Amino acid sequence: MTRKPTTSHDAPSLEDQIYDALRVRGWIIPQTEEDVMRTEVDIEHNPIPLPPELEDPSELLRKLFPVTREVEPEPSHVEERRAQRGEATATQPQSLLECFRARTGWRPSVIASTLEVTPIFLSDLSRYRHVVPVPAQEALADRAAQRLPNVQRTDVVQVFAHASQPRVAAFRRAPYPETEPMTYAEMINHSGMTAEAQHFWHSLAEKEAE
Amino acid sequence: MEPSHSTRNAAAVRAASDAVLLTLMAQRHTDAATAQMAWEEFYYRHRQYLYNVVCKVRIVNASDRYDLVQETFLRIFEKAHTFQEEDSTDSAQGRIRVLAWMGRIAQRLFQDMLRKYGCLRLLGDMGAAIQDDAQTQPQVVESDEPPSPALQAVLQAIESLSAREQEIIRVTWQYYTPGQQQQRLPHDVVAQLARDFKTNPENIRKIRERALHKIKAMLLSSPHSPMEETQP
Repeated sequence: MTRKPTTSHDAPSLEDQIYDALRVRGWIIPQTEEDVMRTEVDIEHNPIPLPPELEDPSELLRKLFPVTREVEPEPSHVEERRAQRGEATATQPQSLLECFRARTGWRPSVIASTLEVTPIFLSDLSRYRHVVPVPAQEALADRAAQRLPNVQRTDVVQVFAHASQPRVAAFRRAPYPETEPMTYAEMINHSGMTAEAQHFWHSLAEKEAE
Repeated sequence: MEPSHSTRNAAAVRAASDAVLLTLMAQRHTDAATAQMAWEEFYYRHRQYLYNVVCKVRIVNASDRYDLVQETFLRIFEKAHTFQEEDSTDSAQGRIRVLAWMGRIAQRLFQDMLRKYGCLRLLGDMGAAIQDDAQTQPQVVESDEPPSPALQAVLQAIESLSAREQEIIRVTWQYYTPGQQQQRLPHDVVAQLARDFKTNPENIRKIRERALHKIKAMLLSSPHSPMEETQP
């Protein structure tokens, strides 16, 4: 939207005055450099704290790099058995990224680059842990224990020991649309890792096949 | 231990300007890993600003506020290639330019949300005593720098309107472009307003006209009227 500047020679129309009043009140999102500068000063003086729901961009990263197959709903008899055993379906296992962030206090991108993977690959390893071959689990556990402060090998092993469940963001009424890679190989291919890194993680699947 | 290629890359991304981050996002088809890092860095830099801006718009439900913030960041990734960087050595000015661009994206998404959900869900029923999600509404403090007397007069005139008139004015001006003549509110927005207020589009237009007449009358009687300033 291009904004025509009003000069002192042009009487502002009633409509423009209303726009300015709503803009100054904050009811219209700042879209010009002048508005942004004024808004930044306001925010600096009266900041509204960021809610926890917007702290972590991992779920958004997943939406930016989606894979296509929809998850099949869990059969009802499985849900019934779970209910009989008294398992809380709302309990979500901690993901690798959550675990590493809690231990290191680092951003996902820093954690991922230290491990020579991408955030989306780390996220997928947690979500689809049941398709991750054991040699890949062990390689990640070794690497994390060696390179990340306060992370033990057993931390990673425990995350892989949990069954994966759909995640629901705290503020959403429904889960994010679930997607699932068909294979571990597809997970690697969607990861955005370098060719060399992809080759390494593929080779671990071949190692298991042997 | 020698820093790996990806570690060096991450450090470079963290040091990059906003405009460079957008360029890296735009190159996602050739370097997805760096594009991811660039987007994430952009998110961390600007999430606080955008959330504060969205709170000032006074969207009632927390989930709608979060959705607007998140959808804006998703759209930024998709539209990164459309950002036009102007020649400037001033990185602070470049950053402001990026935030203004981000604001235009957020505003368009907010317009879409108004079309989709209606103003009563997004902005609340201003006449109602209790709002659906009032407990999660963050405390928005008004600007330290008060508006000019002339703008203050306009705000007072708007606030003197009925709840329904205020809602209609607020929604209408979300689609307004300053300085342009003969602007029309899109038909689907008028239709959504009519559904919200259980009336017909023609009546919405009449309510809007009546509200404008009231504002004009109040401004003409105000000692700080911006309209008086423009009288010969």
